[in-house]
Formats: sequence, structure tokens, C-alpha cells
Amino acid sequence: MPAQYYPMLMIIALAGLIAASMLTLATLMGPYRPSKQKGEPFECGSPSRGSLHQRFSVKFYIVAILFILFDIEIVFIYPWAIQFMSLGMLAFVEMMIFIAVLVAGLAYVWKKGALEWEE
Amino acid sequence: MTLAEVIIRLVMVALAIGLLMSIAPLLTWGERKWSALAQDRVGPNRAAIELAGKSITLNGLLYPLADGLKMIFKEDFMPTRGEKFLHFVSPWLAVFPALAVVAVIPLGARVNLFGHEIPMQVADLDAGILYLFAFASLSVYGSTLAGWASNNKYGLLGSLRTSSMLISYEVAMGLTLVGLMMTVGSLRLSDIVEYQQGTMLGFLPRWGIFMQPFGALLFFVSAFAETKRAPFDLPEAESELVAGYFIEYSGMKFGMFYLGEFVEVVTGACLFAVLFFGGWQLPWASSEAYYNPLVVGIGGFISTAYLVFFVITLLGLPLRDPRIQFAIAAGGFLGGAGLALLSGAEGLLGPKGGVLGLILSNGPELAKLLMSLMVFTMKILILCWFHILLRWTYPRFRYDQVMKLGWKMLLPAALVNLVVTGIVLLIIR
Amino acid sequence: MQEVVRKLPTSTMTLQMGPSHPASHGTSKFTVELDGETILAIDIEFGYLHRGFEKMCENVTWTQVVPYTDRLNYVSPLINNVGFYMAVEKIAEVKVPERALYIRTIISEMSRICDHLTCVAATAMELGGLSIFFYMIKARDRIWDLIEDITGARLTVSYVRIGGVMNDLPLDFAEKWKPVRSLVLAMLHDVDVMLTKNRIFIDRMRNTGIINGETAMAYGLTGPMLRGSGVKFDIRKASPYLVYDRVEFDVPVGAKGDNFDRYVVRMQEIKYAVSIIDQCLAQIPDGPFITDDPRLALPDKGSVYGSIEGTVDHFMHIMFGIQVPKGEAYSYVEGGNGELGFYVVSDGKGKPYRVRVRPPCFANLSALPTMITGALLADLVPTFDSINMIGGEIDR
Repeated sequence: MPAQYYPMLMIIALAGLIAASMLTLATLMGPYRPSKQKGEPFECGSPSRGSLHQRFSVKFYIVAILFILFDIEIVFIYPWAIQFMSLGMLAFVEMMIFIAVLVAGLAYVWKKGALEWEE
Repeated sequence: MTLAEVIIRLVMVALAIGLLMSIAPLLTWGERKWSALAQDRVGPNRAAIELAGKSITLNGLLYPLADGLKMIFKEDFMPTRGEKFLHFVSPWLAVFPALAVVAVIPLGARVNLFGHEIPMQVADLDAGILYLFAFASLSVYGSTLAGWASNNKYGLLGSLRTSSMLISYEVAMGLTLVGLMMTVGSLRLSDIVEYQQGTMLGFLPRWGIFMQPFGALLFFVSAFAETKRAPFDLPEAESELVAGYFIEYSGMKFGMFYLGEFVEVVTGACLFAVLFFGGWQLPWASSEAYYNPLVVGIGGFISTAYLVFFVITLLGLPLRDPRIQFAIAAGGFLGGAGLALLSGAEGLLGPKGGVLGLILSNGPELAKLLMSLMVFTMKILILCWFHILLRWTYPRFRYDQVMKLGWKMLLPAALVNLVVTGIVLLIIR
Repeated sequence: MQEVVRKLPTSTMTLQMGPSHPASHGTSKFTVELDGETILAIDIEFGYLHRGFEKMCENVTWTQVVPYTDRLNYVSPLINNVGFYMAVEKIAEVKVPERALYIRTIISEMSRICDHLTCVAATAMELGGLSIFFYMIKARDRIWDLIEDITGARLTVSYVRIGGVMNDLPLDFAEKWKPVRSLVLAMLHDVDVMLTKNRIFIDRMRNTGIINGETAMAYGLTGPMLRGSGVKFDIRKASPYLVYDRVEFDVPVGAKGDNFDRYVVRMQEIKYAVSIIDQCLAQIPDGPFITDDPRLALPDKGSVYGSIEGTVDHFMHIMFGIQVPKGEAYSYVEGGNGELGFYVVSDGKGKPYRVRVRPPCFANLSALPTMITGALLADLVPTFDSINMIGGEIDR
């Protein structure tokens, strides 16, 4: 690993440490007096009805899938963007084709109604 | 790495984290004060320390301290039917990535002091922006798992909203920066800052916001959404979901979510300043201008006066009072004169020996360091203020509207921005 | 997408919102059946603020009912006072002095402003615009200051009496009204700038909670809710009481019946209310503020202390209550949320035999399931707010 990454590890360690110390401080310093009522999930004062661990609406998963697809395609764009000035016209046209495919994909999911959250 | 380098890096790590951990709690107080200003209120001013019969309130400056103490000594509540481990670690996951993001942000100019090169940046990664995105997206886990692990319906709805909103805006955010990357040709944040010196078109500062105005707007919106604050605060929308994903958290664990949000505001402001407002660069000037005593003097005057003004407004002192105005002017004058002197003394007096000589010969570099730090802090503060101003002006979006804005507006707009940038760059090349 | 959703059915979630929920104002509970974020069914429970207003009234004298009416719609208590005593006056067939009619109109309109301000402010706040809430509440507070000047109390006013009002307007009322008036109008302008043209706000309010005029009438909606749906019905115009036939004002109506229409109607009505108060102040005659009928009004303090008739009169009024003759009447006024009706029966024994109140929000709230089913959870908030359910009124 190149030297430029060592300081990064330092800050990650320090940030993790600070966050962890806040967490342990919270657990150590405060009182802990659990009771049955206190442990109930808050549902505006009424006993909770029904289970939570059930299937969520499929729309949420579709967002996640779309995210992965588009995010990866965007990462493909990055190397080209950095070298853009030296690559010139041909690379630009090639990238436009790539983006056209991307846009087609977006148009497809749009038309399919995957980007509708209203109904 | 040599020992000196290791020490420099350690100091930088402490400085960067220290900056975040001091601005973020201050911002909790600043937000209350600014919102009070926006709403014709006085704002919090009662937290006090009794000292020698006098109570010191500092216009509410002690609130972050009081809040912190209260949260630490509050009961650390745990829902009985929740996922214990995930419930425990989610606050950590919310704070830690927010803090780690600061690693790649250049806080000031790279200088050469006492024979050591000092980059005012913890890690000058060549993949800086990728590091940013990587850590920014980690914070999704904190809020998502928090709601899910609480075994609470409101929490669950909040975490579903968070996860889908945050990942949607990440897509848009990643794409908005492509235009800037094409222009600058680097992912290294120090390169991006270096690039933004001087002028463009003869009269505009060559800042990202002028090179990529549309990209800047899109990035601002998506970065705003990533902080989960109003108008994008629907994961915790208190009128619908009571508190959303952190509904079952109390004490310091709740405080960590709260702090994480503010840290995100600060890092968001840092990022926006670095990418679109020239980082530590002065407007119109090249980075060499930091060696010009006159420029440093004027810049020092403005930024010190601004910082004094900033402190004074927050302390609630009357700006109309001539003494206060004098204090602002005097502060600015002292800051400007001091920096100009530091920068230009060796040129005036000629080389000197001893400790004085050592300081004088490093004077220009030292002045550059201080000045650039001040300029950057000023930019961050202004952006944080803007952030809070928006938060207290706009009502909240609805879930579907946020998703629509992300996927149907920002994403296509970012693609258009990319294509247009490419065409323009090809033409002017 | 639709077929995918159909193929992968998800179980619905039953979410209970309230009574301890920020949007339910502590006085109602929604049991919402959710699919994702979509509301499939909603069940409304209220009654958390029930105190038996109607039954309590049967055990107190006619005068002692006033404090109870204050607590019906606690945002506009003066209109409740007026409404209740108008019913009593119908039975007693008493002539209310001109000046008292004007005073009643002025205080009713001031209460209406407070009511609409609170409603719009709460809507804005629950949509996340807390600053707007503070601006509007500041204006409302200044009006409450005025009400305090008139009645001696800010919230529990108990101001109206049979045949008039408790006391005259303060001498400098017209002067004190001027700064409040300009503050209210300036605030309306601010809020207009911050909300009416705000894209986020419009998106949240437009096309949510729609109810068309026909359905609205079928549900018995009244007030801004009915007018928001495009039905031009206002009791102040349809059957003018007090001095509403002597002042000029228009009845704003919406087109679609969505939340935004109701918001606009309320904002307009605040402006008309300000103008009505101005006109009343210009027209108000001098004269007594309460009837001089000794059966119904307390004698003035001078005669209580100075003459035997006055003392006896006062004693009888206080100990046995005002003797309202036998009879029954229904009287209705335009409250902040719609038709506020009081049905009063008197058996001539000094206490109400039966009091029935028709709270406007009761009918208004009954339309909520129709308005909200199929919408998103977040739409519940502005829709419920634009109904402006007041716990004290609906639970009685």
C-alpha cells in the first residue's frame, strides 16, 4: 500500500475510536433501569399490532437494484472523465454511445413505472 | 516515512478531526441561534455556569456542553425486542464515516515550513473523490440499521425511507461531479483546488461554481439530501414518523445521530467549498498571491473582520454599538497588519539571524498557511449558514417527490450537464 | 412494475398514529393500514378530550355555560360564546343592542382570524416550515393581546352574555387595532411569499386530500372545507346574523377541493375578516352594550349597591340563574371550521334542559377516510391539518 494511504488509516482509526468512545461513554455513564413497558416499541402509546419482520414492498428493492446498476455505470465514466482532455474526439463519441445506453436504460425503467412511488 | 512526517501527519489528523468536532457542536448552537434570528426569537440563552457569584451564559454558547453532559448521563435505553447488537452499533456507523470523510479535504495551502513540507490535508489521495463517496455512502448503514434494529414501525418506515433516498441521491451526486472531473482532469482534491486559481473569461474567479454552475447546483441539492436535513428530512419527519429511524434511541446514542448530522453538514460544506468555491484559494488570485504582503494584508483584514463579526453576532452583542463596530474594524486591522507584516517583514528588513530570523524567513509561508486556513474556514461558515438558512425556510418534501426529484430530475440533468460539458470542452480545447 | 408488485404481494402493516403523536395533536388516533407508504384504510378514533359538555350544561345556570363553550373550539372561543347565546336569545326573544351586535361581529372575526392563522400555521409547521409557524403565531398572539384588552383573558374569554356582551370595547380599541391590523397583513404577505409560491409547499398541498363539492355536501361539510371544494356557502351570507348583512365581503371558493384550495380559502378569509373588522369599526354606533331587560341582564353595579330592587335583582340572578322562558331553538353561526350550531331546550327553570352542539369538525373529520384512502402516509398530515380538527370541539 502506498504511503499516501497511511494517514488515511490513522484518521479512520481515530474517527472510529472517537465514535466508539462516545458509544461506550453512553453505556457506562447513564443509568440502566429497564422495565417491561419501557422496552415496548413506541407506537403512540398503544400496544403494537402485528409483526414487523415481514416482507416490505418490492419497490424498495427495486430502488436498491437500480442504485447498483446506475452507480456502477457511473463509476465506469470516472476514468474517462479524468482522461477526457487527452483522449479527444473518439473517446467522447464512444462515451456518448455508452451514455446513450445508460439513458435508454433509464428511459426503460421510467416507462416501466419503476420510478413511480405514488400509487 | 520519517519521524517528522509521522508527527506532521498526526498533527494534521488531530487538526482535521478537531476542526470537525469543534465546528459541529458549535453548529448545533449556531443553528438554534440562526433559526431564532429567522423566526424573531431570542433563542436559547439560559445555560449558565456560576462563577464567583456571576452566571456566565455566553449567549447560549454553553448549550452544546449542557446537551452533551445531559446525553451522557441519560439512560441508555434499549428496546427489548430489538436486534441488540445492531441497535448498539448503528450510532457508531452514523458518526464514524462522517468523521472519516475529512481525511482527504485540503484545509489550507501546502506550505514549506522549517524545512518540512506541510500539506494541510491528512491524506492527499489520488482517488480522493472516490474515498469521499465511499465513506459518505457508509453512513447509509447507520440510519438504515438503526430503524430496522429498533423493532419499531416508525423506525422501520424511517429507515426504508432513508435507505432508498440516500442511495438514490448518491447516484445523482456521483454523476454531478463528472463535469468537474472532466474540466480538472483529476480526482485528487488538492489538484482540484490548485486548478481553481486565477480568473476565467477575464472577470470571473476560476472557481468550480463558475466553470460548472449547473453541476454545482445539482451537487448542492444532492449533497443537501445526503445530510437528511429539512427539506429532505423525511426519514425523521416528526409530524409523520415521530422521529423516524432513531425513534428508539435515547441519550448519547441519539446524540450521536444528531452529531453525525451536523458533522455531515460541516463536511458537506467543506466538500462544496473545495469543489466549487476554490477551497482555500482567494477569488481571482493565483495561489502565488498568498506570498504578496498586500494581498495577505487585505485578505487578512477581511477574513479577521468577518470572523470577529461572526463571533460578535453569535454572542448577541449589538452591532449598532460604535464600540462593537470599532472592535470589528480593529480586529480586522490587527489581523491584516499582522499577516502582512509576517509575510513581508523579511523583504523589508533583510535576512536576520537567530530565532527571529528563522521566523522571518518562514514568515511568508506561515502567513500563507494562516491565511489559507482562515479563508477556508470563512467559506465553510458561510456555506453552513446557507445550509441552515435553507433548512429553516423550506417545508419538507414527500417521499415520492424526493425520489422523483432524484431519479427524474437530477439524474437526467446531470447526464445533460456531462454531455454539454464534454461538447464545450471539445470546442474550446 | 404493476405486475411485479402483484406477483410479490407484501403483507400490510398496521400503524397506530396517536393519541401521543405529533400530528394528531394529542386528541385523536388513526389506525392506518399501510402497504409500503400507501394508505389502504384508515380508522379514526377520537374522544380523548371528552368531558361531557352537553351533560355538564344541564347542571349549571345559563350564565355558567359560557366558560364551557370557551373550551369547545379553544382557538376561537368568542365565536362559541356568540353562537350559544344566540340560541338562548332566540328562546328569550330579546333584542340585542346595536353596539353589542357590532362588538360581537368584531370579536367573531378576530376569532376567525386566530382560527385560520392557527390552522395554516400548524399545517406549515407539520410540513416542516417551522419559521412560518412562528410568524403566524406571533400575529395571533397580538390579536390575543387585543382580546385580552377586551375580555380580560386570552383563551378562556367568557365574554358574551344574554342580550349583549360583558363589557364595552376599550376606548382606544380602534387605535390598538391599527398596528395589529398592519402586522397581520404584513405577516400574510410574508407567508404568501414563503408558501403560496413555494414549489415544495404547492407540491405537498396540490392534489392531496381531494374532495369534490358533491361529496363534500353529502358528508355535511361546512366552512372552509366546503368552500375549498367550490361550493359557495357561508352562513354569514346565506343567513346573515349579527351585522354581516351590513358589511361587504366576498366568499372565497376553491376549485378542486384539495388541501391547497383550502389553504387559499383560509388565507383569503383572513383578509376579509380584517376588512370586516375595519368596516365594523367605521360603522359601530354608540349605545349600550347589553340589553336593559332586567329579567335577562345583570343590573349595573350602581343600582346593585344603591337600590333595593337592584340588590334583589342581582341576588336572584346570581342564586337562581337567569330565567330563560320555556322553549327550544337551534341557532347557527359560521365558526372557524364551518357551521357551529347549538340546539338549546329550556324548561324555564333557570338551567338548560338540554344543550346539543353541532361541532363543524365532526362532519369535516368524517370525510377524512374518503379523502386520504389511497394516498401516501405523508399526505395524511396536511389533509388532517386542513380539516383543522379541534379536540375540544369534536369530543365535547
